[in-house]
Amino acid sequence: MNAAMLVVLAAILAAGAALMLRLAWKRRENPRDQLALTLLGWLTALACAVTSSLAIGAETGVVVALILFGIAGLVIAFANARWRNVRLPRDDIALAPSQRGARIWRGVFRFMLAGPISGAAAIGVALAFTLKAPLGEVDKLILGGSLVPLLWGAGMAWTLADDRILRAAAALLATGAAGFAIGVI
Amino acid sequence: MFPKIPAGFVKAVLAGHSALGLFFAGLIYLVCLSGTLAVFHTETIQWEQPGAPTGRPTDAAFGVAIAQMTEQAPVADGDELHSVSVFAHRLQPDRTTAHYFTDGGAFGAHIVDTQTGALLEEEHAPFAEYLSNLHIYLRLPAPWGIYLVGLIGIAMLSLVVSGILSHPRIFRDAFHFRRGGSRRLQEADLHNRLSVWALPFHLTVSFTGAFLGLSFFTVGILAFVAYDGDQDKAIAAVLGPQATEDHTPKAVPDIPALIADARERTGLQDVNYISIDHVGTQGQVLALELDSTDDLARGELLYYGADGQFLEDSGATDGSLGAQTFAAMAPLHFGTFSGHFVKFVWFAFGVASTLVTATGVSIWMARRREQGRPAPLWERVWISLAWGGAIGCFAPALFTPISAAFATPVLLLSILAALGAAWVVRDSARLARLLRFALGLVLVAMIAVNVAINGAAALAGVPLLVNLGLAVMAALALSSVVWYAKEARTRGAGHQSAAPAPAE
Repeated sequence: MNAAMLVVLAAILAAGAALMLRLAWKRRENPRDQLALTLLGWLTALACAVTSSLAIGAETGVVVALILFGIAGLVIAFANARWRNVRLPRDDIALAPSQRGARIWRGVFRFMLAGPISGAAAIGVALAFTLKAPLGEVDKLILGGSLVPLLWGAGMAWTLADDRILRAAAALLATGAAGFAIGVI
Repeated sequence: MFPKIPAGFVKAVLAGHSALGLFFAGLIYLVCLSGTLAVFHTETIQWEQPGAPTGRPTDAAFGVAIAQMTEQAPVADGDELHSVSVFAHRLQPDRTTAHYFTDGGAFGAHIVDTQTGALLEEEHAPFAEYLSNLHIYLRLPAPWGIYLVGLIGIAMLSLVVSGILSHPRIFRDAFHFRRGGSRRLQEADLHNRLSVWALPFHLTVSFTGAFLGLSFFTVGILAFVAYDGDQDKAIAAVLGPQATEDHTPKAVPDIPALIADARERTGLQDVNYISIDHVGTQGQVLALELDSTDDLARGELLYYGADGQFLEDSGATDGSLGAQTFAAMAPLHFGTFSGHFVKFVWFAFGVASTLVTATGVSIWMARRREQGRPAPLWERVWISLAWGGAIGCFAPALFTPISAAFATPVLLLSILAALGAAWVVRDSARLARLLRFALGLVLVAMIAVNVAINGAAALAGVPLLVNLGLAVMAALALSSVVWYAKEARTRGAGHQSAAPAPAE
C-alpha cells in the first residue's frame, strides 16, 4: 500500500473513531455499551495515528492524525446540530463565573501576579532547568526556553482562577525564588 | 466516566478565564485573524505580483543570484551589507527570490530567473508584508511588537488551560451542537465545539507563538546566564556558527559545489534557502537548508566557512531533541509542513480560533443580558472591533498598490470608522449587518483592483485561486447580511419587544 492510500485509510479511521465516540455519547443510558464504544473509538484513533505515521513518518504523521480526528469530530458535531428552541438547563447557575467584587487593588495585584510575577517565576524554573539538567547545551537552552511559555501560561491561568490571591502570590514567589536559587547554587 | 469537578473551582476558573479573555480579546482577535490570512503568505505575494518565473532553480542559478545581489544591493554611505540570501522551494513556492539585508536595517528582494539566476524585477508585495507584519508585530516597532504578540500567545495558552478546566463537560459534550433559542447557549456550543475539536491546534499555535515571540527575550536570558554573559557564544549555541568581524575581502565559495556536498551529506535534494552573512569577506559564514518532507522541521541546515569548508549541521532533522524541537517551532506555527492540505487546515482552524475569541466575548455579553445587566454600548463596541478589525485586515490591499505607507492608517481608520458607526447605529444587529456589508464590498473591491492592475495574470494559477477565495468570503459576508436581515424581520414580527441579539 503506498503513502497516499495509507493517508486515505488514516482519514477513514479518523472518521470511524469520531463516529464511534459519537455513538458512545448517544448511548449514555447504557454504560456498558458506552464504555465499549468509547474504548473502540480511542483504539481506532490510535490506529489512525499509526497508519498516518507509516505513510508520512512519525513526526508529521501524529500531527496529521490529530488534524484528521479534529476535522472528523467537528464535521460530525456540526452535521448533527439540533435545531430547536434551546432553553437554559436547570443547573446552569454552576456555569456562571464567581463574583469577586471590584476592588481596584485586588485587580492590580492579580494583574501583576498573572503577568510579571508569573513570568519571573517561569524564568526562574527554566533557569534552574537550563543550568542543572543533565542534557546537552542546545537541549538545555531550547527545552528550558520552551518551559517559559508553558509555565507562564499555567501560572497565569492559576493566579487568575484562585480566589485566594495571597496563596497564589506566595506559591509563585516561592517557586520563582527556588528556581533562581537552584540555578545559582 | 468523567470525574466530578467542584462547582466552586469551576466558577473560580471561569472567572479567571473570562477576565483574561476580555482583557486581551481585541488583540487576540486581531492576531488570530491576521495569522489565519498569513497562512497563505506566499500565495498572497503571487496574487500581488503574478507572472514570476516558476520551477525549481538550477544549482548554478543560486550562485549567480547571490553574486548579482551582492553586487547590486543598494547600500547607503556608512551602512554595510549584512547578508545576502536566495529563497526557493518551501520558503518561496513557485518562485525564487534573492534578498539583501544591511546592518542599518535596510532590506530588499528581487525575483530570480530560475534558469540563469539573473535578477529580474524587484519583489513588490506590500499587502502580504502588511499582513505578516500585523500578525508578528501588530504594526508596532521591533522588538516590542513581537514581545507583545508573544505575551498574547501566553495569554492564549493560559486561556486554553483555563478553558478546559472551567468547562467540566467540554469533552463529555463534544458532540453537543444546539442552534435556536438561547443565544448564549448557541454561542457557548460553537465556542466549546471549535475549542475542543481543534484543541491540538490551539495548544500548538499558542505555545509556538509564545515561544517564537519571546524566544529572543527568554532564550536570550537563559543563554546569557548559562554562558556567563558571553553573548556570542550563547547565540552560536542556539543559532549555529556566526560570521566574524574580519572584513578582509574574500570570494564567495563555489555555491553549486556546496549544494552537491550538502546533498551528499544529508541525502536530501531541494534547496530551501542559501544565506551568507558578511558576504564577500573573510568572516563570511554560509547557511544552506535542504528540504525534508518527513520531518516537522522544514529541512536540515548546514553551515560552511569562508573557504567553503563544512562547519556543522543544525541537527534539525536528526539531531538532539532540543535542536529538532527548535527547528519544528516555525513550521508548526505557520502550517508549512506536509503540503497544501495542512495549509488549508491551518486556515480553517485559524478561522476557528478567531471565532472562539469572538464568541467568547459574545457569551459574556449574552450572560450579562440574561442576568438583567445588559451592556449595549460594549456589545456595539465589540461588534465594531471585530468587523472593523476584519475590514482593517483587508482594506489596505486597496491602497498599498499606491504606497505601502497607507497600510497602518487604513487599518486604524477602518477600526475607528466602525467604532464611529457604533455611535450612530444603536441597534447592534443592524450595526453588525452594516459592517458585514462593508466587509463584503471591500472584498469585492480587492478583486476588482487586482484584476485592474494585473489583467489576465490575475485570472490564472494561484492569483485566480486567491481571487476565488476572496469571492467566496465576499459572498458569505453579503449573503449573511440578507440572511440576518430576514431573521431580524421574522423575530420582529414574532415578538416586537424582543431585545436585539448581542452579536451576530
